[in-house]
Amino acid sequence: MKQYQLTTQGVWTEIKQVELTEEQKTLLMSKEDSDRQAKESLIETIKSQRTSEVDASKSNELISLYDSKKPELKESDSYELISADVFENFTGIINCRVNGEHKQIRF
Amino acid sequence: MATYFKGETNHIGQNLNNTWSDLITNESFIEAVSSVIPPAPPELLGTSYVFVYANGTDTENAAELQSAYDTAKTMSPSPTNRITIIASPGYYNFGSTAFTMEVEYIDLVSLDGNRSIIFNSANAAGTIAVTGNDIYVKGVDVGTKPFTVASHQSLLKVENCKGGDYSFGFKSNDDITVNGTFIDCAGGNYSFGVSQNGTPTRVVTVSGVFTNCIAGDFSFAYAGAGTAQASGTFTNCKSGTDSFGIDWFYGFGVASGVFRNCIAGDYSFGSYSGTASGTFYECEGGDETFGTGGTCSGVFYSCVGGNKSFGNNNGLTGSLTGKIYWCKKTAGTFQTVSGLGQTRMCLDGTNVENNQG
Repeated sequence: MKQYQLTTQGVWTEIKQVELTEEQKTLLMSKEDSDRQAKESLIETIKSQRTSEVDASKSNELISLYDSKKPELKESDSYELISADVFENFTGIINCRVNGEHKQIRF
Repeated sequence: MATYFKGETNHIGQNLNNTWSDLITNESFIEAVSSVIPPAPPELLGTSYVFVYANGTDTENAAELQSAYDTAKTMSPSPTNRITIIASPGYYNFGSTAFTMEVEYIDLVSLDGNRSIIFNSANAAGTIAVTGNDIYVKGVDVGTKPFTVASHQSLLKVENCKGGDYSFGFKSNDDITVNGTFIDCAGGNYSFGVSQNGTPTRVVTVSGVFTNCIAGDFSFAYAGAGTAQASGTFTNCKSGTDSFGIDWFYGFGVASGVFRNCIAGDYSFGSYSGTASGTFYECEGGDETFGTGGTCSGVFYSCVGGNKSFGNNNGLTGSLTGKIYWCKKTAGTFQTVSGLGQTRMCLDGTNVENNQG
């Protein structure tokens, strides 16, 4: 099931699986010093492939969902998003802080 | 039921002064004995429950439980008509086939509330597999076998149950989400949300509610290589090393939930270059815990970490941008805070008070 994440306001990403070739797997398991640089480079590549920005249409859907689920705030309230994790069936959890107090909203 | 001894005359006038081999082949005797053995109890059920006597052998008990479950399925379970199977204390041997609870609104509870529904098959496959969503299970002990639950069961509630390694949400190589409620449960290593291998990279999300739960190493959101997020609510939970939001390989582990009075071993709570962004009350970790080598951006109250904990120090890279109140390191010093980071009334490994930011 696809999973979307928000850790920075307004920027929804999809968490993706990264397929690895047999060669890459072997490199990742290598403990040889000579492979170290290539291994680090591969890990950075995997990191960059692990998430991708969602398209505008999906982003709008997720923003609407998030806005409808996040806590109602008074004008003086401070709000800090930790993360919102949403599955493609629109279930998920929001972790945030309101006035320094941790809140969790499951939906 | 009367008891007769050898040499006595029984209630049908037989003299029992003969050998046991004579007796067990004597039709009159067999008839007499059969007449006083109580018949098998009738199936006991109400409009909302089915009772399991468990007065046979372990395999007979298992068959009776399966039969009760099959009966419950015929009772039109629904959100407004939950059916509860009440199982008596005893051993249940399912051999090499799991007892599978796939139908919603059918619950299983032990008669006494204890872990007294004991699955004693020596075969690891003879365990329980809860695959439906809205199900309540209480009092099941599968020993060292895995207590199997499926992914994405937000309405699942498991209470006072015990399994071995690979329990309560485990995949050897697949994504998994554990978002149900678990109370007083115990598992072994690789329990409560684990994807052990990562080819391709896997996503582990543990966003449920966990209270008084215990596991071994590599538990509560652990990915061998992938993304592991401990984003739920964890209260009085205890685990071994490499637990609570750990991606061992890439550093994609995140502990973003609420943790109260939780204890873990080394390399836990968003370690291995991960992130500890949640809120932690009176938690305790070993060395390299709480966002070590990555980002320690959460809020911590009265927590204890070992060497290189709370972001990093002593040779590892990482950042301390969170708020650390009344916390203690058992070894090493606190690193310099950055951003909005603060430490207040904290003690380092040599009991020197630390206040920054």
